[in-house]
Amino acid sequence: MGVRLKRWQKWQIIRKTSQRVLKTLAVGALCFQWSGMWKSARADDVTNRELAKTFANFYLRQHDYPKMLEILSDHLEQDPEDSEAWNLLGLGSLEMKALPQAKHAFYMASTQEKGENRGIYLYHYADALVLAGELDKARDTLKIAQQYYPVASASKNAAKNLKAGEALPPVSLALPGKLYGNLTVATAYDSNVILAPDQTAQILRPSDMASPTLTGIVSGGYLKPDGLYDWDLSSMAMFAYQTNPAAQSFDTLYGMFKVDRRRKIDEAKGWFYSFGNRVDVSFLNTSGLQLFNWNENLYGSAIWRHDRDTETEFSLPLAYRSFTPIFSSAAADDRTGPVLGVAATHRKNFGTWQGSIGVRFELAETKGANFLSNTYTVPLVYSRLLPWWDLKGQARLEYSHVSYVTNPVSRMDDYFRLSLLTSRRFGQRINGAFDLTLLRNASSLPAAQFSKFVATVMVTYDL
Amino acid sequence: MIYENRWFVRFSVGFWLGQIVIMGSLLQPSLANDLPAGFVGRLGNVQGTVLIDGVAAKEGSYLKQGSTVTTENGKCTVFLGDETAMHLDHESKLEVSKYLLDKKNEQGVLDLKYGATRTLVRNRGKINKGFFIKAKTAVMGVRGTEVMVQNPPSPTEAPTLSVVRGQAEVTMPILQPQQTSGANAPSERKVTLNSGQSVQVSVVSAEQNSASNAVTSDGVAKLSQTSQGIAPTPANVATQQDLASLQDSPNPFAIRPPQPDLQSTLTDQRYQDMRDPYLNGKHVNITINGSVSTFSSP
Repeated sequence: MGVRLKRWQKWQIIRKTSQRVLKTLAVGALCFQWSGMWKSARADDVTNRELAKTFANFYLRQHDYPKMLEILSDHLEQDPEDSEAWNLLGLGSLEMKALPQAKHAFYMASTQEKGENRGIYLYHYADALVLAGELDKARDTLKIAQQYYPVASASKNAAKNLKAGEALPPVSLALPGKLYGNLTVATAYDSNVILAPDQTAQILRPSDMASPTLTGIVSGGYLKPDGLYDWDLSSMAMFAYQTNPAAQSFDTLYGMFKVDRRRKIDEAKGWFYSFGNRVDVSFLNTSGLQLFNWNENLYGSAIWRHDRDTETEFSLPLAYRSFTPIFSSAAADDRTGPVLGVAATHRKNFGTWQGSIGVRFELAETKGANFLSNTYTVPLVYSRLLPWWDLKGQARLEYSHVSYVTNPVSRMDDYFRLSLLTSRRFGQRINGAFDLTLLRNASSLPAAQFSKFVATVMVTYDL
Repeated sequence: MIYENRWFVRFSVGFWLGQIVIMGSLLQPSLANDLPAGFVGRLGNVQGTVLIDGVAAKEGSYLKQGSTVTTENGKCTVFLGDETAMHLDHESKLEVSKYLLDKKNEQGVLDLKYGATRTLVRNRGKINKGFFIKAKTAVMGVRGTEVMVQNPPSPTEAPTLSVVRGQAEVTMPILQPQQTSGANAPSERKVTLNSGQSVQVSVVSAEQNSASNAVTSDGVAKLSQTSQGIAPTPANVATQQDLASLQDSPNPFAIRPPQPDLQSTLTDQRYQDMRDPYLNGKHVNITINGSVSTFSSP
């Protein structure tokens, strides 16, 4: 049997229920508003933190440690969760030999930091503890620091030999190296297969036959940052197969290994140097003919950054080419020898497009007198983002004049090369490209004259 | 317990604070708050050629009210008080028209004659702020925290004022169509910009620049990317080695630059000929021309 409520009791229940609902809503709204305020406070923190760091770095460069500490202390009063600032406060305090302050700052930094930097802050805390003579505490702290990759080995080594009042070895944060690699598959249509290297095949004629080409490339390397420089070890292996109906079937195996040390390019004006070495090895197998070549290339370059959009590069490639004279046994046809080059390239970024112009000179001191040559090359490159489908476009026009100075017939070649390339990225890993290259050699030797075009579709997958 | 003794705690705190002050005064007697009389700020992060009133400036140079900072091919940061930093891009000119700082107030009018600035203003500071950046006919009242002003040198090109993070109020004249004939005086309009918003302020006429004066929302990420081009966030000083590097580095933004994005670096090298059209062009040629061109020399 149900209880019959009086009218005032019903109102009471309605009133209480609505009060509870309103209270819940109000609390919810407050929480919502608070979370919004919290979010905006976080957004402000980004700038406030950067500002504190900017000022602190400025006073640090001025060697004005007290002012730096004052700036950081003021900032941390407002934002005690800024672990970077605590750490900087600790480093500054250490510079001023203010050990208790350093200890406190590093302790705060290590408790506020949740990421990998925590290891560094713990290491610093241990350093301050050792300087203060608190060896047991320092040992325990280093044990925790060993769990963090950037300082794991440094902490382990430091813990073995603690001496009160003696600073720990400074920790250096070497960025980890990275492996990279990619796979490329390309198919092309070559309108006129040249049977030997374009720039060294002085005696061979073009085939005047068209052929499809299939190419597979595997390339990869290891990039190791080293302060302001990068070490880059890279290699490439390529297999290409080309055929045409008149038994002009051949395949090529090509390998390359390269070591580079180059200065990272940043916003700064000034000089950026790089140097490296590259070894090329190639093996051509065609109908009844095998050809093995290798090149050794040593190069250095200096880039002068005029401003963030303009730079000029000067390079000095030195090479030694080994080219087996299989088509002729005459000593005059031996193309082996050193090559000395000098090049300059000027590049400018114009916002949506960029252009470059260069000039290059090469002197090939071959063993055989027929192929001792001077080469002058002028490359022009125009790159831009195209207005359709996120395509990147590039036009490259290159003119080379080769003069065989000791050749008995005073041969001279004039190469014209025009490449039109469009490419597009598909997601994070795939890149597609289409290239059309037109090439002509207007040689003074009729047998060496040719014209050709090559159309290529290429897909690269980044590993 | 000795630590429970209030007098001991008071003495310890006083002792260490005193030590910092004494050591500080020994190390560096001149603090920014004690700027020499007549000066209102200092220059930092000086790269390339930067002039103050036509005279070459260096790291730490002082600024007076009325000083003009010109960056030719260089860049710099103008430090005002302890809570405002103005990064100036290449080819910029800034006049410190007015700057007053006392214990409770900071009042500043900075006139960006041309160029670009990325300005950071602390919004949770100790003092009240009245901080304005002028760019042609527009005036931006900055409430915090990060703003960007781009003012092209041509008097007919419209300046763009953006708030990367925080809030600012932009005051600009409304150019009526008949104003070109000089019939009406321009009236003012105020807009409040929030994070990720920009406004381009028309300086010619309403007809010639109809797209101007409308607030656009570009988003924090995009604006932040652009403003980082003027001056990147300073490098993190994590270790003692970083500390030493920063003090000696000619470029304060690059003591330990971030690792480059490998994928984009490789892609750029191969397809855009960014750094080395010659060598990388060869790489393309190797691929494109199939077998025979692989013999091409470097």
